[in-house]
Amino acid sequence: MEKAVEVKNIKKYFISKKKKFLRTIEKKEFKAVDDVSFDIYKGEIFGLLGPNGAGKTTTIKMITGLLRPTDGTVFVMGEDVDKKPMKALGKIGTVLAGDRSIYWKLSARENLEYFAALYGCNKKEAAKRTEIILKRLDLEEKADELVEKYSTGMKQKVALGKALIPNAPVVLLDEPTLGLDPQSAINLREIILDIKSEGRTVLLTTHYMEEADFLCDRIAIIDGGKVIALDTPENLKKSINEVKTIKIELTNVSDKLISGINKVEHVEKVISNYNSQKRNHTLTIHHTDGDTVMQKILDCISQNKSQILNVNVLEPSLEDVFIHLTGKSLRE
Amino acid sequence: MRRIRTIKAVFLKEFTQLTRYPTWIIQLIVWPLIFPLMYILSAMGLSGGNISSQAVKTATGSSSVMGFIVVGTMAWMWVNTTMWNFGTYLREEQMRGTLESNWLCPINKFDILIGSALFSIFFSFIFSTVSVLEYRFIYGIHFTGNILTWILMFLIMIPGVYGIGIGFASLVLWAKETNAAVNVVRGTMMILCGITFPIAVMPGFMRGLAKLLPFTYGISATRQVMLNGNTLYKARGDIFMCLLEGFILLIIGRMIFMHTEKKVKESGSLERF
Repeated sequence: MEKAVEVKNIKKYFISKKKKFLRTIEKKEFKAVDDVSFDIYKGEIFGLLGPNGAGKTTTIKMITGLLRPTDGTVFVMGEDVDKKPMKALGKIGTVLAGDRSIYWKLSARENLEYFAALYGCNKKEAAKRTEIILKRLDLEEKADELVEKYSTGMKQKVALGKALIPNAPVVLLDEPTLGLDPQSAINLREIILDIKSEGRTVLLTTHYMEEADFLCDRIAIIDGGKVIALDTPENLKKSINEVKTIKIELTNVSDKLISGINKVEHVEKVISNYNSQKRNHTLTIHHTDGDTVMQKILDCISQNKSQILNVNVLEPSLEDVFIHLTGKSLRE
Repeated sequence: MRRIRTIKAVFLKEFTQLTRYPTWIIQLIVWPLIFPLMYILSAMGLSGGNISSQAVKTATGSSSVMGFIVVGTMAWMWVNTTMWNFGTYLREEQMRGTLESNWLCPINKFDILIGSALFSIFFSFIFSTVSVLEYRFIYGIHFTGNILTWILMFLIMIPGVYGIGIGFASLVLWAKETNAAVNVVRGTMMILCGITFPIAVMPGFMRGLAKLLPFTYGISATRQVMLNGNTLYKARGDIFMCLLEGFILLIIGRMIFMHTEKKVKESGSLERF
C-alpha cells in the first residue's frame, strides 16, 4: 500500500525550568513524544486516540511542521516536513483549534477565498473552489454573512472548509466535532466519510471513542508520548476478547469498595468515574470470567452499602481497549 | 507571483476587517486634531501667549511654534500608527486564534508581515492625509514644498518603522506580551525624537541617544521640507541618516524574526498567549 504520511521514530523532548528570583534552580526533561512511528496509507482514515497530554497534539504539530522534532523524521506524500516544509504543507489541509482558526469578522466566503489565496490559488480559482466547498458543506445560503453570526456547528464547517480548500491529498482534523451538538457531529462525520470516498487520506484526532470506531480504518492509541497499540478498531477490540466488561452505576463508591472488587479473582481492572450530572458513580470492571465474578462483585457492593442503579454486561469497546492497555479511562 | 498573491490576500483581509469596525473613522478625524493641541497650548501658556518669532526661530529653525509642533506630531503619528499596527499584528492574530492557521499554509511567513505592513502604510497614509488637511484648514498651518516631497518624507521613515516593527512582531512570538515594551519604547522615542521640542534642549547623553534613532532625522527632514521651505538637497544629510539607520534596523529586525521563527518551531509555542 502507498504511504501518504510516514512518521519515523519522532521524539520531542521539552526542558522545563524551575526558577527562583529569575535564577534557574532546576531543569527537567519532559518527553512529550517518545519514539513514535507509524505509517498512514493513502485513502484511509487514520485515528490518533489518547487522553489530554498523551502527545497527540505534539505529534500532529510535528506532522504539520509547526514543531521541529528533537529527533526523527516525518514525510507527507514523500516530502520531508522539516527539509521541504513548503512542499509538504501544500499537501496537507488542516483544521487545528476548530472554530477559532477562522476569522469571525469575515464571511465564510471571504475566509475560504483568503485561505485559497494563501494556498496559491488565483482569484478565479479561489472563487471556484470556494463555491464548490460552500455547496458541499451546505453553507451557500449564509455564505456572505459574518462568521460571528454562525452557530458553533457552522463555524466548525467553515474551519473544515478551510482544510478542504487546498484540495490536498492529506486532510488533518484535530478534534473536528469537539463542542458540537449530536446532529452537527453526525453531519460532520458524513462529510469526513465523503472526503475518504474521494480517495483522500484523513488523519483524525479525537476524544470520542465511538467517533473513532465509526470513522477510522486504523487507530493508533497514544499514551505517555508512546504509541501503545495500532490496528483496526475490530482487531483492537478482538485483542481483548477474553476480557469482559461490566458497567455498574451506583450511588456511592469508596476506595475500600474498589480495592475489594480488585481483589476478586479474575477481575483485572476497576475504573471509577463520577457523573456530576446524574450524581452517581460508574464502575467499569474488566474481568476474565463472567460466571463467577458477578456474585462476588455484588457482595462487595452490598457490604459497602451502595445502591445499585444499573448493571450492564458489555461487549469490548475501544474505551475498554484503552482502559485495558493503560489502566485509566480516556476521559480522565 | 505566489508571494504577491499572499501579500495581497493579507492586505485585503485586513482592509475588509477594518471596514467591519466603523468606529475607526472617529479616531481618524478626531485624533490628529487633539494630539498636538496639548503641546501647542502648553507652549502658548508657558510663553504667556506671546511667543517671540525670533526666539522660536533661533531654537527651532522655524518661525512658527504651531507649525513646528504640528509637523513633529504628524510625522510621529505616521511612525507610531504604522509601527504599532504592524508590530502588534501577529499578537492580534495570536489572540484571535488564527495565527496557526496562517502558519500552516505553504507560504513564506515573512510575506504575512509584508502584507500587514502594506496595510498599515495604507492606513497611516489616510491618517496623514486627514492630518495635513485638518492642520491646513483648522489650525491654518502654511506648509511649504509640494505633495510629492511630503510623501517622500514619510517614505524615508519606513525602513526604520519596519525594522522596529519586525522586532516587536518577533517579541510577540517569543514573549507573548508586548504592551510593556511598546509603552516603554513609545515613550522613550517620543522624547528622544524631538516631536514637540528641538533636541538641542536635551542633555548631551540624550542627544547622543536621539541620534541613534532614524526618526529623529526623519522628523527633522520633514520639518525642513514641509515648514522651512528647504529643498530635498538641503535636507539630504537628515534624509541619508534616516535611511541608513532605518535599513540597519530593518536588517537587524529581519534577522531577529528569522531567529525567533526558528525558536518558536523548537518550542511549539506559536498559539500560546
